[in-house]
Formats: sequence, structure tokens, C-alpha cells
Amino acid sequence: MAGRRMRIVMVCPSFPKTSETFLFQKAAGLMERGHEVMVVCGSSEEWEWERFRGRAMLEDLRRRVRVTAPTRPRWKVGIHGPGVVARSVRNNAKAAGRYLEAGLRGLRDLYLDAEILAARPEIVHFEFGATALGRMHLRERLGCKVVVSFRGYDLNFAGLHDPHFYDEVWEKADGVHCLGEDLWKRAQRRGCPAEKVHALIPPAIDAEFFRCSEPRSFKRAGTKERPLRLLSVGRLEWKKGYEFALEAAQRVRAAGVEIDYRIVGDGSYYEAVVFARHQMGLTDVVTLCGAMDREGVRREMQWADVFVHAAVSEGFCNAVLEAQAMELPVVCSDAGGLPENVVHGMTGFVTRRRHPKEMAERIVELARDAELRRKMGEAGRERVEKHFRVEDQIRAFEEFYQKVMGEP
Amino acid sequence: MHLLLLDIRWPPETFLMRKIEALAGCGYRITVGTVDAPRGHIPENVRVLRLPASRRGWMTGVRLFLLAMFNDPMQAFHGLRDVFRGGLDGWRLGVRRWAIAVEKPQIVHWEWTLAAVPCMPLLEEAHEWHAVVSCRGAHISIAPLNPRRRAESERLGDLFACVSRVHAVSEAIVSEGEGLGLRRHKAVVIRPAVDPSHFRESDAIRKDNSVQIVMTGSLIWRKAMEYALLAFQRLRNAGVEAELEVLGGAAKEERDRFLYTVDDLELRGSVRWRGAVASDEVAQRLREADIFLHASHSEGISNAVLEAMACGLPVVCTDAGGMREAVRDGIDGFVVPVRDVEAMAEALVKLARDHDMRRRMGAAARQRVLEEFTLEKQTREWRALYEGLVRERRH
Repeated sequence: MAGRRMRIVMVCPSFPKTSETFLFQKAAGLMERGHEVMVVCGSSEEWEWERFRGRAMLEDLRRRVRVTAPTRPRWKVGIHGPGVVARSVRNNAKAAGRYLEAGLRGLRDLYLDAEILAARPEIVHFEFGATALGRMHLRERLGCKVVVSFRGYDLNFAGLHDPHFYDEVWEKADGVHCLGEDLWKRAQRRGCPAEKVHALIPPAIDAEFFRCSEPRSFKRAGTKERPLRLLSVGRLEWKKGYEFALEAAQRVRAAGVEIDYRIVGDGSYYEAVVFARHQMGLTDVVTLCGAMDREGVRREMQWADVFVHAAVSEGFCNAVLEAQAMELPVVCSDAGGLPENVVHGMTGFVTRRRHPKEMAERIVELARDAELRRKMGEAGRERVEKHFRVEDQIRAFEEFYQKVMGEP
Repeated sequence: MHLLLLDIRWPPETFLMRKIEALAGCGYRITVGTVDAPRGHIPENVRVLRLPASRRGWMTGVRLFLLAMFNDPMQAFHGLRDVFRGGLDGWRLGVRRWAIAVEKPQIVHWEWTLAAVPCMPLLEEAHEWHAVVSCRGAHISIAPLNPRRRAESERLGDLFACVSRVHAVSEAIVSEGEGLGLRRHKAVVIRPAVDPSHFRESDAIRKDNSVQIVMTGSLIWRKAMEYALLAFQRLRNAGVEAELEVLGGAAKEERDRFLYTVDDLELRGSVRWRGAVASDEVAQRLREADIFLHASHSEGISNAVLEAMACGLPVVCTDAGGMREAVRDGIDGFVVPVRDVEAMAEALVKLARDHDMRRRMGAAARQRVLEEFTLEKQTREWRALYEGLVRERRH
């Protein structure tokens, strides 16, 4: 292990979550490297844990998850409040004292921060920008370093109406982590000083798990007998731009290429997607598969010929990385970090967001050229193996933390 | 005439309030059965009857039961049986049975299609009143496509079969209803109405180089704001000096989506979002605008468009649901295919560049509302429907 062992608290709304597998992976990775990790979250669901069954470090990690006391409904605060505060005072009297100096507000903060306080962290890492708001007092009160991650929505549209939304984070945070260049630029546009200690650490995926189990067939696709198999993976939300993906699919079909399009994911725009599918006359060729665990995602990726991702707002997108690992050529939009994720012309095609026509042209190109699909798929696998390895990511975080701590 | 309107909000949407006031003004006795508290202005001849939404409101339920006992003990007991048979649906059914027993209306009208589904057992029995159900849009055009709502929407055909009349806001909705088992002879089309004295033309002639485009209506996915913004962006890219104003409330998700899209399309300087505003303010803003834009994916027939037409605005709208029944393409504005950003932008450019065309089409639009979408005409049609039904029974 490089450097010494650190006490790190990761803060996120919910843990674990299948759509946020990267957090699980990161916590497990840091623990494997000997750090003392604690996860503080708002909720932790049993059925989500079920979906992670069989992963390395599962039981160890499970013991290190703390759920904060409820804030809603209000009366629950009254019930939990005294106990939480008393425990905090017993656990870490010095820090609790600093909270109580601030009066009623401090008491409220103490209630929210109780689990973090008990962990006596050296580093507190807010895994999403929006969760860090109003929590910067942790630095002085606990004498720890505070690090904030920006992963997409938190910079893309959270608090856009308020130009000073993240001011306290820019001012006080000891370090800022962004998934890529695009987000870092956005952070600066929204007020982050360019000299802020920061790290650009892209997500990483389990390239061992996401590996083709059998060689793909590269035959002519797009006919009635063998339609071109398209796949999208991602929650059914407006950010993912499914209406544009469906429009692209409609155009591909109009160009004479038969398709079989599967969409994996679920969300609040389910009905909107169902309606769009109907309105565009795609009901018979587009299947909404619902949410799947990663086994299911791998199976679908094995099945597909081309991965489609039409997002209008994106952080970096792990599903696109997984698709590349599975040797799938990707046709995606240029939202957020996607142009850093996919190398245009090499591992897939990056088209302008909200331009289904361009997207359709690229899909048709791939449909007609099996050799191109094969080449791009291989290049994708190579890229993931080289640049998006979990070990590298964990090491990068370790270095980042050391930098924040002021250690060489 | 005694009319019971079931399962609407209180205070109701503007178009329902207008209907209620107009009919009450004709001497109808109207009872509104709602889960909301009876507050705000309640017109004369109108009674607001509170229906407890769940067992939590059991006190109101008991009161209703006792009143029903007094009026119609048989139905009161049936209601008790429904309520104890269990489930939220049982509760809903029982409570509505009591409401009908208490009120003894001649007509029971469900203004929202799916709200009538839990009351189907009641409709299937013999009853002395007539049942009318309204089809307004999403409940007919969207919900039945959703496999997760199949349990509800599969019963629509049966529902249509056991009510006396089905009201639709447009011919397009009747056609869609036919696909769900609606028989045409049962359908009555009554299009919405606007108050042309409230939504009136502007007196002043605007002398401004930039073109004001306005959109009204809450920001929900089927209103397709993102497409409207794309069309607006193209209009600006075509070199037209234009501004877009959006009036309408939004839940968090759609607000995020809207603000993000405005930002992402670099339209921050030219798009203003005012949130939900009062009806007076809407009329005022419409009068100050030049073009009305409506990009909806799905509609029954849009009240917002009719209001804009009444204000003398030319309209660019998508060919969703019954929109063609309101806007005549090339006369009151332009009707473009749904989701067709290019066509939308093209129509906007045409109107933005041609002041005379705007004035001509705006005048035609107002004229059309004055002829076809007046409150008097609508009230006449409602009365014909309700009174016709009651007469039918007598013979």
C-alpha cells in the first residue's frame, strides 16, 4: 500500500444502488487497499443488497454502512433526536461541543452529522455535489478535509436558477473531483476557481465481468431474418433522451434497415417512452425490458450489435463504458462526458445531442458494415482495458486524498 | 335539473368552473363531489360535498352514511357493504354510493374518465339516474398504452357500455375511444369554450422589432417543451430576433429539464419562464405577444390554444388529437406534424417575418373562437345533453 491508512467517510443519499454501482466498487476497492471506509447514507435497502450478492467485500462493507437518523416526518426527529445527540456527545465530545456552541442550528447539524462525527474521519467525501450543500462546517467542527464529487446532474442542472448555488462548496471544499474534462469546465463556469485542488478521475468498470463470453457473430444485419439489434441501458428519465433515440430508430427503419431495439431500465418517464414508441409506430420492434441487474445487462450486451445512447445530459456514463468492454460499437450523443468516453470514429460514433437524424445515419452505417462493427468493438475493449480499470481508479482516488491531506 | 359532478378538484380547473357557473346560472342545481375541502368562492346553486379520500376521513364518511340512511336506507346499506368489503376501491365505491343516495341527482357526471372506473359496480346495477363520463385526452390517448395501467384501462370498454352518454372534447378523442370499445352513437362531442370578454384582443398595436412568442400550460412531458425550445432555437438561428415566454407551473423534474434545456441550447437571454400565473395575467401576457406556440405530443383539444386564439394570436401547433378541430392550417395559424421540430420552426419563421400574415391569422383565430367556441354554445350543448337524457327516461 502506498502511503498510510486513511479514515474516509463517503456520503451519499442511498447505498448501495444498482444504478450507482461505482460507489460500491469504490468503497470496496479502498477497503481492499487497507483504508478504513465508512459509508453514511440516507437509506440502505435490503432488496438492493440482494442484487449485490456475491460481490467481493460485501459483508465487510455491510458492517461499514451507517444510515442517518430520519428527518421526515418531523415527529421522528423528536423521537430520535435526544438519543442521537447524547450518543454524539459520548462518541466525540470535543466535536459535539463545537456544534452545540452554534445553538439551535448547531443542534440540527449535529443531528444530521451524527454518524459522520462518530466515525472521526480524516476525509469526508460527498459523492454528489448537491448533497454537500450546507455541510461545509464539517471542516472546522471535525477538523477533517472535505472533498466533493461532481458526477453529472449536480453540475448540469441542479440549482441552475441560482448563480450562487455552489458558492460555499467552491470556497470551502478542500478538493473537487469531477468525472471528466467536461464537468470540470462546467464547474469553473459555475464559479469554481481554476486553482482549486481537483482531480479528474473517470469511472471504472469491472472489465473482467463485462467480457464477451462467446465471440460475436458479424454477419449482415438489418434484414427481416436477422434484424440489427440495438440496445440502450439507462434509467427512463428525460436526461437519457429516449425520445430522440426512438426517433433515430424510426429513421433507421425508414432507411430500410430492420431493427430489434431493447431498452433496459425503468423510471419516471416510462409512460412517456411507451407513448413515444406507440406514436412512432415502433411498438413491435422496441422492447422495454425494465430494470436489470448486471448479469442481465451483460446478457443483453452479449445479444446486441450496436449500443445506442441519446442522452441530453450526462456525467460520463458507465453503461457506455460497459458496452465498450463488451465489444459493442457505440452510437451516442455528445452530452457531458460522452465525447471523452467514446473515441469518435474509433470505438463508436459521437453525434450532436437532440439530432436523431445524425444518429440514425451512423446506425445505418454500422448496420451495413459488419467489419466496422467488429473493429470498433475491439477498439472499445482495448480502450476500457487501458484507461478505465478499477485498480487505476482506486489508486487515483488514493493519490487525490493524499494531495488533499497535504501528504507527498 | 339536479346534476352531480363527481371526482373533480375544488376549486376546479378554470374550464370546469366556467361550465359550472354557466349551468348554475341557468337554474341547474349542481353538487360537486370532491375529496378537497370546500373552500374559496362557491357560486349560487352549487353545493360542494366532501368525499373522504380514504378511511382516514371516516368521520366524514359516517356523516355521509347517516345522511344516506335518512334518504335511501337500501343504498346506504349497500354502501356499507362496499366499504367493508375492503380495499381503497371498495371505500371509494361505498362513499360515492352514499353521495348519490344523499343527493338523488338526475345526472351523475364524471369529468375524468378513469375516475369512473372504481364506480363500475354501481353503474352496472339498475339505477334511477343517468351516468355521463367525459373523455378529455390523456386518459384515452396515453393511459391505455401503458401496460402498467392495463387493469384500469382494460375496463374502459365496459365503462363506455354501461354509461348513458360519453362526452368527448373532440372528434379525435371519439375516434381513439372507438379503439377502446366506445360506440359512436353514445358519444357526444362538446368542445371546450373560452370567455372572449376575458380573453380579448389587444387594443394597442405593438411597435417592436423583436417577435414575442408565448406558450401557456403546465410543463409536463406530453406538452413537449424540449421540442418547442428546439424549434425556437432554429427560429433564432434563422436570424429572427425573437423572445419566448412560458407561463405554466412545473414539478421539479420538468422544471429541471426545462431550465437545463434552455441553458444547454444557449437560450438563456431570450427565454423567460414565469411559472404558474393567474388567469388574468395569462390573458394580459397573451395580448402582448405575437405568436402562440404549442408543441404537444398528445391533446384532447387544448384550452390554452383556444384562449390564445381568442386573444387574436396566430397559432403554431402540432397535429395532436383534436387540435385540427380548433386550428385551421393556413387560416388561423399552422398545424405541423407532432415531434417535427423543423416544420415547427419553419412555420414560426414564416409568421415571424410576415406582420400582415400574423394580423390576418390572428383575426381569423379570434373570429373562429367567437363562432365555434363560445360559452353560450357550450352551455347550450350541455343542456341539450343533460335535458335530452332526462326526457328520454320520461318517455
